[in-house]
Amino acid sequence: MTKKIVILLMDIQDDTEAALSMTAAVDHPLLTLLEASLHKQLAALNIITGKLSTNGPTSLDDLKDEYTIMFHANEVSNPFFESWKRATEWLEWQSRGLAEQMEPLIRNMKKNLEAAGAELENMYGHEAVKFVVPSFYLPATTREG
Amino acid sequence: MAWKSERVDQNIYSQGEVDRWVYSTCNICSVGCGCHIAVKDEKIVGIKGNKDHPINRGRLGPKGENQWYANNAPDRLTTPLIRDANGTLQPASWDEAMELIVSKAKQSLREKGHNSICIYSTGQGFLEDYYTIAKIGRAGLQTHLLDANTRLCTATTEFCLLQSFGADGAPASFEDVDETETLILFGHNVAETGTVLFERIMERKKRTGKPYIMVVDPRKTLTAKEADLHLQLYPATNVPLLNGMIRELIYNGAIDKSFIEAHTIGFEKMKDSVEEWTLEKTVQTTGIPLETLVTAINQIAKTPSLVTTTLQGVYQSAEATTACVAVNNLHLLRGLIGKPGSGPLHMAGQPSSSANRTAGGVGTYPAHRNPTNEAHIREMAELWNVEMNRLPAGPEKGIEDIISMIEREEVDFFWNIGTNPMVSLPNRRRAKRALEKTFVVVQDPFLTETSSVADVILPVALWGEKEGTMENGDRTINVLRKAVEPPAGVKSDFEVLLDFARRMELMDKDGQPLIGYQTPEECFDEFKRISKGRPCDMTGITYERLEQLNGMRWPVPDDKSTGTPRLYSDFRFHTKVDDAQSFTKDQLTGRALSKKEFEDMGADGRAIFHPTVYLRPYEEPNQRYPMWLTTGRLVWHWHTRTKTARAPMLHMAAQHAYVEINTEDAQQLGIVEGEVVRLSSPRGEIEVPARIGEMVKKGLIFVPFHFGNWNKKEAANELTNDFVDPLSKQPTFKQSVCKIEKIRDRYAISQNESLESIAEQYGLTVQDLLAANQKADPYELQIGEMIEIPLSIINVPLQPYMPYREKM
Repeated sequence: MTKKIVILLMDIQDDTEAALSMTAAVDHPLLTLLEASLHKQLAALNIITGKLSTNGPTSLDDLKDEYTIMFHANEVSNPFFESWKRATEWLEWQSRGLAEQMEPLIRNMKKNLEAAGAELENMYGHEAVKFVVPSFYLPATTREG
Repeated sequence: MAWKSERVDQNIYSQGEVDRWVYSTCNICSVGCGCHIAVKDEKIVGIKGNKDHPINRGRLGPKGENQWYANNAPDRLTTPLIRDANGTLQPASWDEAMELIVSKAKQSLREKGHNSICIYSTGQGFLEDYYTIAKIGRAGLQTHLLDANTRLCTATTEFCLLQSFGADGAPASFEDVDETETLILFGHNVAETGTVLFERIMERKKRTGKPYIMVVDPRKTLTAKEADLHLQLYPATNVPLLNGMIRELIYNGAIDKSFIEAHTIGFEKMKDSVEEWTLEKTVQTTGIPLETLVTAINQIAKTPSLVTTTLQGVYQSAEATTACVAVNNLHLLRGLIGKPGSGPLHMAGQPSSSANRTAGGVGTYPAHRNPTNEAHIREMAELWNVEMNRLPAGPEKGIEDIISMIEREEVDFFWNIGTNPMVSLPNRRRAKRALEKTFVVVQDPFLTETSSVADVILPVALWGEKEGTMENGDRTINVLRKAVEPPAGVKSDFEVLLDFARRMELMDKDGQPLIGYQTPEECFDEFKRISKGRPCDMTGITYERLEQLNGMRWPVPDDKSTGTPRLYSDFRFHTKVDDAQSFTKDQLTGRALSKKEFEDMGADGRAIFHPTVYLRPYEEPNQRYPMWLTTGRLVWHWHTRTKTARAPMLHMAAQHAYVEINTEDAQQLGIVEGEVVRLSSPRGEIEVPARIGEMVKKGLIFVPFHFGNWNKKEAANELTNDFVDPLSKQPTFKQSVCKIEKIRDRYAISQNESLESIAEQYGLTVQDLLAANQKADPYELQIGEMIEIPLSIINVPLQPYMPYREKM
């Protein structure tokens, strides 16, 4: 299971780095916010993948804070991207093409984080990840009780 | 002190004496004026102010005096409606409508999970409705998509307070406004949005010369005209202005060092964030003359007491939460909080939007509980007697996030209660396309523009036809008694919610009904237990006491307490980890901080200075769209006019949308007074008459947002962008780009034609024709010359309303 998580997180790391390399050339406040949140996501990812690769399986508590930061940084980054993409369309900016190039990366990050959320829930249980993984990154199942 | 004397305003239309007067509270703005409802022959026939209520001492605003006409409007809905296979809304029984709603809710839960259901409510209902929504939504449906039109109104209030002080609740109250030496009305056009509070301020001002009034607004509003100092700044420059002021206060040593040291954290980081904002840069960015800026700073530096109010000019602007946090920083810097006559007073817009936040129908969990704190969620699970894993956790979503989720087909059920988003949401065409894709329930007393996307409509009771409590802008809880039964076939929101919970068979963990109460008062009693020990403790409140004492400001921790006029008088803030309503958010991006990050900040009961970094607005005037558009309110109307358009006097006072254009811009474009012009933005276009003058600066136009009929091209939200503030997720209605175009025919003057005959042919005056063609004299026009003919000119008179000068 840890191996699966590591693969997912390394994919997200690659996508985050690729997205950040694209935003550097464009100056817009929404991209400033997107960059800031992606940098935070990447910093958390680097710590998580580093520890998992070195130490192997860990308890959730060891990485709880980093996971929390990673998911919550991603959660705010998506609306920044969507808003910026709409802005490029409204005003027909040249960066419209860039937004289209970035979109698959942003979507992939979200998809992989949802998969990582599900994996963490499998590994540690719903109650343990409830305050780590935002509700919208967990599988849409009915919780009885 | 407030009000030297009482004055009972009343508006009754009755043959003979009324049968009874029923205790109530005005249901229009967030001031919360006490009133009595006149009843004759079991119908509401009028209203009068409550002379004993400390908030208004009998006074009422124009909308308040006329709100009861809607109750008797002939087009009240009196039966549920269901859209048939042909797309037509057809009358249905309550059973049919509720069973359809329940089956759709269950289908959505089954197919797409808990977060496929959204309840989007209001700031005009009652605390008991909101608490019930919170309980049904969170513990019953287990959805994390509870939002309200308060997102458009006062979400920023909540999030700026959480950032700085750890919990919601305006630190200062109207009593502090009565005592303060200096009052800053920041983006707060109180003369039009809270007329009775404005009158209260001006009554003292006329009597004593106090307070010194400073208004920050890009428009010369009715409020600005009465100010001692008007800071008429460029749009989207609230943060630069505050940063410039704060930097100067620090440099001049006009700060309370001992207060900062003892009661705050984060000063140095905040100081670094304002370092670049020299006076010169502030002047250049805001457009405020240096002398005016220095006068303002000197006043803030020397005043012994200060109240700063904020409203939509801040909340609906770029960097809304950062600007409000900067206001909090300003007060902390000078130690002017928790003391008589001092403190931030971040206002609310609607009569009970604060109650929705307090009750947990929107934003955080009930009674200021933190959705990211395990201890708080466990406590809620115990109080509601449900398993903890039923309760969704983590930061909330705003309506614009939810619109995106609907577009992605993640939301299958949208329950719209007491609001008209098809007029009030920004970029409304996008919102309409989204809502057309999902199942929409609309709960409203009338057909509104939002009916166009409804699958089911439920007719509900209005003010005066139901009982409950509201919370105003300064934490005052008021009670509203039921004056009459609603029309036959109509239920209250509360009754609908209880019926839904029963039909859904929502249970607690012992198999008992999740909603155990039957009446609003029983619901309030349950909420009191939920609130015990929390910042909004209402343990000492009963409906009876609320009526006896004419409202009480929370906290009211026991039955000896009569309420708390101001918060933080002990300088202890709600920033201990298990007290805080939020672990706060990153001030730049809005990312919810983890528990550890919050613990590491080490606030532990002290207030928090946050850095206030300036970012350019997301959209700025450019070659294609060279103008700024700002939207806002008129004194005569409330929101989307569902109620006020049904009051004859209010409707007559302001019947049309219009656009305010600066005289210089109008001259350059050759636009004449009343000429219908086309305004367009990347989102859409409208056609409205021009009012030309000095209310707005050159380069800025203003359109009231109240008008949104689908059959007319006058809705401001056809134009607005749907960007939101990163922290509060409140849309930036105040700053969109647009352009103005004339709508004209071209006409060649032929022989035997005079300017008079041409004007007559088009229903214009000669003066209109001359002005439209930028000619001073008829003799400047020659036969054969092409002239432009404005296709339509509509006179848009607006009745003045200056209550402290003359009563209408």
